[in-house]
Amino acid sequence: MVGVHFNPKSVKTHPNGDTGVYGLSISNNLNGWITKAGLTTYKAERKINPGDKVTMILDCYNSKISYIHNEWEAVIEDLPKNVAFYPYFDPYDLDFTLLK
Amino acid sequence: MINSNMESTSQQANFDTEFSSEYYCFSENDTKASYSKSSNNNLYSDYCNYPVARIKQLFKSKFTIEFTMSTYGWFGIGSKDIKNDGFPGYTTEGFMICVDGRLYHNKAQIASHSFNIPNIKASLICDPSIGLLEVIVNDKKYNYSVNLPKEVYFVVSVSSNNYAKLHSLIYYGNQVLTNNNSQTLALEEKVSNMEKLLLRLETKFDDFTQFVKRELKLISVNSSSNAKLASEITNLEKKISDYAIDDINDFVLDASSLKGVNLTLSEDKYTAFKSHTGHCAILGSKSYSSGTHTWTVKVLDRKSF
Repeated sequence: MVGVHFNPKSVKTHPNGDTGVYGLSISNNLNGWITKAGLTTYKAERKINPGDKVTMILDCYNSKISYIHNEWEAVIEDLPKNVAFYPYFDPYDLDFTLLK
Repeated sequence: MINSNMESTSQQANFDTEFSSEYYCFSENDTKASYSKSSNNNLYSDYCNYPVARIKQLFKSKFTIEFTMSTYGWFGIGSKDIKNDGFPGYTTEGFMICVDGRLYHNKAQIASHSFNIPNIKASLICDPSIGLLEVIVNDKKYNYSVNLPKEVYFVVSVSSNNYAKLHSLIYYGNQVLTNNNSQTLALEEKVSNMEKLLLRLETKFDDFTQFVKRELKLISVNSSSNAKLASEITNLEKKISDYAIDDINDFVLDASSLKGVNLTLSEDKYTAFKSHTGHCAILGSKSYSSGTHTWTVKVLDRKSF
């Protein structure tokens, strides 16, 4: 999971059910599912393989997160307003590095 | 230090422990190098999983070294600029021969012989002054025709559960240089840090370009009046300003926020390593409530534990 969390004191081990989490799953069978407020939508498949890069753009003006990958893009809208977001990562079964 | 003895000299070969102590364990009087861990280099994982151990001497002329590789691994020649953090056969600084005879240089197989040397003694003969590179296995010579650097190290590169063992070293030439390891390591570390910074800067500018292009496209599509266009442009100018002043160095992964187990961070806190499948959560060190902020995540490896 690459996303944001707006309540650092309540972070849970698992993103599902963690109402502070908004993000894109990049773990677990290469899917790339979207999670909003701890609820995951198991629909679109967005392949993410070792070596791939995913760029996450947090746009606080428009309360949205955009994701850019070589082969797909995704947007999570309607983020909570008037909160501060911490970048949030749940790597599950992979090693990753931040390029910025 | 220069040894000007024209006679051949024979001695026990030893690894340069200072060069790669981060990635190898050395034993048996520094004649055996066993893989310890991969590097955190941002390149592909099979580069990182094959760090480098080298012998102490840098040769300008002919030498012969006898060695034993374990189950799997690579041995060969590295230039004086070789790095310790990954597979030299993927760089221009290494000429790496597999235990099965393949030779890799600059991320390509450029020569091959068919032999198999796990757990048996083999010898490498090299003379950089005339471009000689040969491997002797069971008294049979295998010649590789390659353009060698003028000054070379004998190097090995193995991954987990593997090792390389050195035996005798014979050198014939009139110059054997002993490297100043501390100085070289310090310089290499500086170069490595600069390369990492450059990579982050390049990524940031790529992201920035993409971001502005996308925002401009949205403005041209959606704007219906000059007033609205002016407002949107002002808004974009502010976003660009916010983006431009976003310091790339003040954000790291925050180890104290970790929930769950089986995750470790690299020293620079930009890279996370999993040691077992399972959910965990880690936050960044900063929060953001305004502006536009960008992170690029590179997936290094997906493991089956």
